[in-house]
Formats: sequence, structure tokens, C-alpha cells
Amino acid sequence: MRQMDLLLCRRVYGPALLVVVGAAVMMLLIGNNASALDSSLFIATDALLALALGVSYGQGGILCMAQATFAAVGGYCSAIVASHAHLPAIVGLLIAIAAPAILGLVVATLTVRLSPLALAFATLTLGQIAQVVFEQGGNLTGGFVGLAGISPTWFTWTPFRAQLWTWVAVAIVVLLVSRLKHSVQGTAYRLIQEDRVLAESLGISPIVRLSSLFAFAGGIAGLAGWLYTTSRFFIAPDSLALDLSIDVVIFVVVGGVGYVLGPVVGTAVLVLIRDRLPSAEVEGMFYGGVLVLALIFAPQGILHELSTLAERLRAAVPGRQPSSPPAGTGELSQSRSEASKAVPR
Amino acid sequence: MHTFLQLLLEGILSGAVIGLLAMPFNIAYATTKSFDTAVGGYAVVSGMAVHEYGLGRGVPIGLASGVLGSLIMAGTFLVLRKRHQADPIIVVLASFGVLFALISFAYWRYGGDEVYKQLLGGTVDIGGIRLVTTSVLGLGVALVVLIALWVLLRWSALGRLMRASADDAHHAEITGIPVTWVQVGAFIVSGLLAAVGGIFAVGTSGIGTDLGASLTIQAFGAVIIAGARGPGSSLVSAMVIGMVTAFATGYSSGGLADIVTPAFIFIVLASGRLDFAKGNVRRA
Repeated sequence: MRQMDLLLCRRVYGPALLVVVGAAVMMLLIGNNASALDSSLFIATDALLALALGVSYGQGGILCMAQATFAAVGGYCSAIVASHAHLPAIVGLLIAIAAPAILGLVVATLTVRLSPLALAFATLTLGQIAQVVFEQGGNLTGGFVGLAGISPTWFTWTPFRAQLWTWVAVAIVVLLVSRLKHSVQGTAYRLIQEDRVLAESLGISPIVRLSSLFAFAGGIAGLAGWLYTTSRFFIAPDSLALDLSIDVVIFVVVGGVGYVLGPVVGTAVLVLIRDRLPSAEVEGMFYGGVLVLALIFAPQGILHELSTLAERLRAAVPGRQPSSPPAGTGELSQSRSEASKAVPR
Repeated sequence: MHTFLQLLLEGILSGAVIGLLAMPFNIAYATTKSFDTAVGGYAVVSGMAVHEYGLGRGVPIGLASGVLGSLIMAGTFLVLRKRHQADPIIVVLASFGVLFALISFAYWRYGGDEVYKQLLGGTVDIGGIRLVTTSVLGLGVALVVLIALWVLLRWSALGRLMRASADDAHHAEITGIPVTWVQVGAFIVSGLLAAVGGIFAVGTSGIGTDLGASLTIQAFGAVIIAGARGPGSSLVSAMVIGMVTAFATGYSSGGLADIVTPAFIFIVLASGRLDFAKGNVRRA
């Protein structure tokens, strides 16, 4: 029993601990190097968006292609609160999380019953609608130019501090996602994915559960939008646009959709490689090629490949039994009977 | 009334160009039970090649570019089918990768500006309503393609092979159907049609790398709204989208027109009545 608790503890807290250690090492290495700080901030912000998609797609099976839109809603809300209403930053933060969460809830209520492809497409059109709203919002959104000159908050006063707090946010979100995955709720989400009819017969409402998951993901994206806006002091319609939503899908697929840390790893690897490309023009060829190759050779992501490799190495050592999956990993699917047993009636 | 009719016909004509991009979705779906969202990429590389090289050299280069792009997608699909049984969502994601790569290639090769190239000069006058000749030709081509596809998919032996390949590729192969070649052929025809759509797009509304994803969204929207029933429904649906956009542009100010089309697609999708894939690609 104690061993079970330890294993669960390792699975729940391990990923967040890995993020804390990884971010600390990275911050020590980059110091005050301006370009490295900028890259680190980009990775952390995009990782939050990828985590939001990881929650909705990895746990709920909802391929939402509007994460950047939810972040933009959060970013604009905080910018409007700061520049028009002159309210404290903490109010901006709360609104930046709440507004996309409510939007996500409304959108999910309308769309979660759709097939995965239709749902993905509906969220893609949502991104287009939001972009036009931001562009045509007049003084409120700043039109095509956007809102600039937003006062920095205590959290984002300097680039180093912005980077630090964004990574703290990543670690907290990883912990929340990890806890959710290994909770009764997480089991219910797996059951909904495995067999929706069985889930409904057990009293689980897929629409209510998936809508709340969608709203949670929207809130995470809103947090990313707040951090983006307050650390760069501006937001424009192109800042968190449709392209970024598709980039985020690539990050999650490459990292591993079934793993809590998959979105963070995918984002870090791809952004670091992207920053070394000869020009921005070839970025799409790189991302497109990576997505195709990942789907062909590693459809479950980098973390799955690493996990499999580690298992093989362990099995190759004489006298050692393969152990449980490492921290930060976890099977996306659980057997139907196992899942149904764990769900309260 | 005159303005209404003018906008109505302009909407139908611009919808026909979108229809040329929507019909390839139906061909891929009829053969693979999945969608190729890279059509916007085929259209962009084709249209921009016509602008770059002129009509004489540009049209064959554009068509070849579109076909080459579709061959990359066909190869990707075949490898995915062999390794993972080609889950429709995985194929769609992979086609997004090809779309991204093609748009990026066009940006690198031809630049990021939106371009326009006159294909045919002059206008056609129908009862006082003036229509651009290229747009009218686009409608004619769309109708010819529709009839050809209808005959191919509904009445020809090849159409039956295509449907058999989509329904059960494994059993179709056992019965001697060259599934691989049928599916590659379907992707090539899709690429060719999308390239034709791209050529008409550069000759009517203009084309650019920023429009690649937007063209895919509009065309895919037409297919989904039509319930993926067939090329005819998709063409009609594309024309409805074209009309909605034309009326929004003509009767509203500011950016309302830009919001009407995606909002219309979103509302139709959210209604859930036309969800083509219910019970088909749903995970559960």
C-alpha cells in the first residue's frame, strides 16, 4: 500500500518537480543573456498554451485549435483592464483567466457533442472570428495596431522576473494537470474517451465533464495570454493568432499527447530548433516536416519513445525487471473495466 | 434589386472558385475516408507560380506544383496507412503539416505579398449586371468538373474501386483492387483540381501565403456544411458561402464581412445537424 502511495506521489508531483529543476538549471545557465531570456520566455508561454491543449486533447480527446485565441482573449482582457480601467494587475489576472474559461465553457457546450473533426474545425473558425473582433474593436482593442504601453506588473518588471514567474506558472499548471489526470475526474475522462455510452450509463455526463475540462484549458490559455501581455507590454491581433494555435498542436503531437510533460518537452525542443533556423521563411517547412515525420515515426511523441527506450535498457540489464513508467508519463488509455471500477456511481 | 442580383451572382461566382477547392476534399474522402486539408497549399503554390511566370509557363508550372504537393501528401498517407491504419484525425493532422510546408515554400520562393494576375480581360453583361469574364469561366470549369466527378464517382468502374478502397482497404486489396494506385490517383486529381482553383483565385480575388489556411478553412467548411455527401453538395455549399460573403461585403461596413463567413460556418457546425462524421470518426 505504501509503495502504491509512493508511486502515485511520484506520478503526481514528479512532472512538476522536473519542470522546477529544468527551469532552475536553464535560468542559471542563461543568466542575463537577453536573447536567451527571450527564448526562455517564449518557451514558457507557448508551453502553457501547449499544456492547455494537452489537457483538452490528451485527457478529453477534444482537439481544440483555438488555444491562441483563448490566450488572446485573456491578453486583451488584461490589457483593457490595465490601459482603460486602470485596475490593479491582480484584477487583470483574474479576468484574464475567467474570461477565456467562460468563453471555453460556452463554446464547449455548443460543440463537444460534435465529431472530433467537426469540433476541431469549429474551434478553428472561432479563431478567425476572434481575430476580426480584435481588429475591428476600435479604441477598446486598439484595432490593427493593438494596445501598447501596458504597465508592467510586479511579476514581469524585468525580463528575468517575467521568465521566472512564467516558469513558476508552468510548474503549477503541470502539477494541476498531473493531479487531475490521476484523480477520479481523470479516470472519468478516460472512460468517456473509451466508451461514451458506458460512461453515460454510469451517470457521467460527457457534455458537462468535457465542457468543464474545456473551460479549465481555456483558463490556462488565458493565464498564458496575461503573462504574454504583461511581459511584452503590448498585444495586437497578430500577437496570438491562428498560426500559433496550429503551432501548439504540433508541439503537443511531437512531445506526446498522452503525457503530462509531453507538451512542455515538445515546445522546448521545437522552439529551440526553430530559433536556430536560417530564416523565418522556412519556419513553416520545418514545422510541417516535423509534424509529418512525428506522426509517421513517433505518433505518441518524444516522451513515449524515450520511455520505451528506457524500458528496453532496463530489460536488457540482467536480473532487473522492467519498472513502472517514469515520472511525467502515464498511459492515455486504461482498460475499460479498470476505469469503470474507479468511477463513482 | 439590381445591387441584390449583382451581389448574388458575384457570390455564386466566387463560391465556384471555393467549390473547386472543396471538391478535392470529396475525392479524397471517397477514396480514403479522410480529408486532405493541404488543398489550400496546392492552390497557393499554383496561383503564385502563375503570377511569377505568366500564363504561358505559369499554368503548367502551377498545375505541376499542385500535383507535386499532392504526391507528397499521397506518400505521407500511404506511409501512415501502412504504419497506423490511417486514423482520419492523424491523416488530417499530417495534411496540416503538408499545408504548412507548402505555404512556407511559396513564401520562400515567391514572397509574402498577396498577388493578382489577369487571366482573361473584360466583363460579361447579363441584363445590366456586369461580371468578370474570368469568374464566369471559373463557374463553367467548376460545373464541368462537377459533372465529370459525378460520372466518375457514381457510374464508372473506377468510382466503385474508389469507394471499395475507402470502405475496407484490406479486403479491397485481397479482391485484387489496386488500392494504393487508386488512392494515389485520387490525391493527384485532388492536387490538380486545387491547382486549377488556385489559378482562378489568382485571376479573380488574388492569392497570397496568408490566404492558404483561409482557403482551406472556407473549402473545408463548404464540405462539412454539405455533410460530405458529394461534390455537388460541396459546390452548392461553397456558393452559399460565397453569397453570404458577397452580401455581407455589399450591405455592411467595416470588417463585418470578414466575420460573417466564419460565423456562418461556426453556427452551422454548432447546430450539429450537419455533422458528417458522427458515428464515423468519433473515438468512442
